[in-house]
Amino acid sequence: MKTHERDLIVIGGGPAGLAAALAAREAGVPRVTVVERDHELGGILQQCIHDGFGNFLFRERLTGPEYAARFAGRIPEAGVETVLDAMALEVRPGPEHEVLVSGAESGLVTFRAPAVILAMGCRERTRAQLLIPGHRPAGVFTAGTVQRYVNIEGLRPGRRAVILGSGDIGLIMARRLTLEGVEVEGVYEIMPHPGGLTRNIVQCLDDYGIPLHLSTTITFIHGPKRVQGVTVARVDADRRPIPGTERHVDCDTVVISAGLIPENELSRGAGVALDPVTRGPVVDDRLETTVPGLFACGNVVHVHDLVDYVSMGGTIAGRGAAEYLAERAAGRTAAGGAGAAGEPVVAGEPGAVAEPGVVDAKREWCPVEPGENVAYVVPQRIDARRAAGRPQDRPVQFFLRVREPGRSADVTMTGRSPGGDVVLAHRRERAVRPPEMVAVKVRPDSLAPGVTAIRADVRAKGGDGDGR
Amino acid sequence: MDGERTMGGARGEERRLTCVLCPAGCDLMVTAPEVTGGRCPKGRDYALKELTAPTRTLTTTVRVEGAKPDRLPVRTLGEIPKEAVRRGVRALDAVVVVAPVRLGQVIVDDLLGFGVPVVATRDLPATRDLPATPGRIARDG
Ligand SMILES: Cc1cc2nc3c(=O)[nH]c(=O)nc-3n(C[C@H](O)[C@H](O)[C@H](O)COP(=O)(O)OP(=O)(O)OC[C@H]3O[C@@H](n4cnc5c(N)ncnc54)[C@H](O)[C@@H]3O)c2cc1C
Ligand code: SF4
Repeated sequence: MKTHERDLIVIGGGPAGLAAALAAREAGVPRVTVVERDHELGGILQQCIHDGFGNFLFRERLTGPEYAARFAGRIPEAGVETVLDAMALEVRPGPEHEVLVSGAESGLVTFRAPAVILAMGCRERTRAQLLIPGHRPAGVFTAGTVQRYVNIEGLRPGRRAVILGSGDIGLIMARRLTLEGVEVEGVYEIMPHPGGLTRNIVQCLDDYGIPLHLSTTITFIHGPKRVQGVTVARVDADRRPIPGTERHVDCDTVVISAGLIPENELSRGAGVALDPVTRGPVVDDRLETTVPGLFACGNVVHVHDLVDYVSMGGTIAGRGAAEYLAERAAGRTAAGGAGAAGEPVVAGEPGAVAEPGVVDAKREWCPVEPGENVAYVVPQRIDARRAAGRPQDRPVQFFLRVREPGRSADVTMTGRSPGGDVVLAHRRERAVRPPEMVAVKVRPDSLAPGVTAIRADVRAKGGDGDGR
Repeated sequence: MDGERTMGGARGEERRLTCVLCPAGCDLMVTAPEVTGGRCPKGRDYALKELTAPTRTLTTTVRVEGAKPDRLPVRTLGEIPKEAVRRGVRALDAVVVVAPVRLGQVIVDDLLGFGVPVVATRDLPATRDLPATPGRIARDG
């Protein structure tokens, strides 16, 4: 089998991988290769033909393909190699990581590089994972599959559809199917609050008079060959169907939009530690996983609501990989940080790699913990000394998700330091809701007083962030 | 109540709207011509227009000959009246373009007479122009 030597391999050519590859090239990494299993770059964006992407980065409301083109268009001139129609099958960690790739043209090949960025995106929750009882008829799809059917292949999945789950993709597809002449009977959401962004409820459901039924779920799918209808029922506070509230709905199509799960088959195989809450790798301030030289960004790390944040993360990972390669070249890896410039840090041979899956103990990790009303914070740990040594225009970017909606919320990052607790960052959000990520930046100089642990809290004044 | 949500219904003189222009999705309180609750000035314009003559961007696909996949994503370059979006999509159902197509290429000059063009939102090379070996790995060195 042929082996190709590179400096950086990026697995996945979606917005995360593209931003990472471009940032790494800009930071001077010579040989960067993107491996993408599809026949083109852009990832999931190519099927998201609706507009609303890029508001933060470009101040425009681009469609998915337009947003993808902004990055994919820069790839050739940036000197990034792309290998399309090529699936990464395995990542083997080592002093030089190896990525086993099966390519349409190349067959089975190995890429070897000291740094690898995982940018495989996420996948959809399926019916099997939701455990919906009933027949196994044709006509049950995930929302992303329907999106592909309709937008890429120009097919119509059925005549009358119900949508299970009010995630953004389901809302977007409710509108899209309606415009394509499919009758959408309603959206059923088991939770008492919607899963998607408010603006999508307004512009996808309200605009077209599609009802959203909260605290309601599908309890049975009727077949046997093709979907003939579903039974829906209201649920109680514990999400159990309430007897006597069942109703039959005629339909030939069921669209499931019940959430996304980071795609981490490869990460698991590589021995990367995963966070049980985000279901993505545990990462640090430069989006390095627990295996040195293996980085992760985009929906692999946690499911993002906005693609702008995905691109921002890609940039952090690309720069991080460049920083890692520079440290490695200087013989400083797997030990101290680049921030501790001048300090001789010696730990084993250059490029020594910790046991896969084992959090390397040589760094002094500053854990980042979710506090009040915070479901999770990414990154889960930072090297505070290293981060404190970066220029002020390269803050540590944190993303968090709240558990409960709230109004007028104070988002606070607090650091524990020898001199007592210090507020590292604070911002006021008008409203916080579980589907919407909160982004907070911490300036490098605020970490200077020797911060050893960080906690994120969201304290809201009013309870109901949903009241619109 | 089953799925009841408070919508932009009249509440005295005041109406509540959600601005859909950006992901912030601000709650707007409208007592024309007063609009409060927007994080930026666009919210006010949106609310006043939404209550008088609401408009939307239309996105859909049209058929393409000579390319794979054979659907081309398109958008209106600007907004059309909200009530015309369905008609617009139906009108575009009848359109067939021939590959290659460039991002931004005008597909329809004036959709339904609103003076708004429809443009392609991606490049779509003709199948015959595609490189024969898309997944080639550069020579090492
Ligand atoms: C239906 C939908 C609608 C959305 N709407 C909006 C919106 O309106 N506004 C907004 O801002 N955001 C939206 N988002 C979110 C945003 O598009 C995503 O968060 C973003 O695309 C994630 O980028 P990514 O690069 O992490 O993953 P992806 O875009 O999924 O890219 C991952 C890439 O990796 C490739 N890959 C995976 N495994 C392998 C492997 N083993 N080998 C090789 N290649 C591999 C895949 O083929 C894919 O190209 C939407 C997302 C979806 C799914
Ligand atoms: S008012 Fe401004 S900030 Fe708020 S949703 Fe509208 S465009 Fe966005």
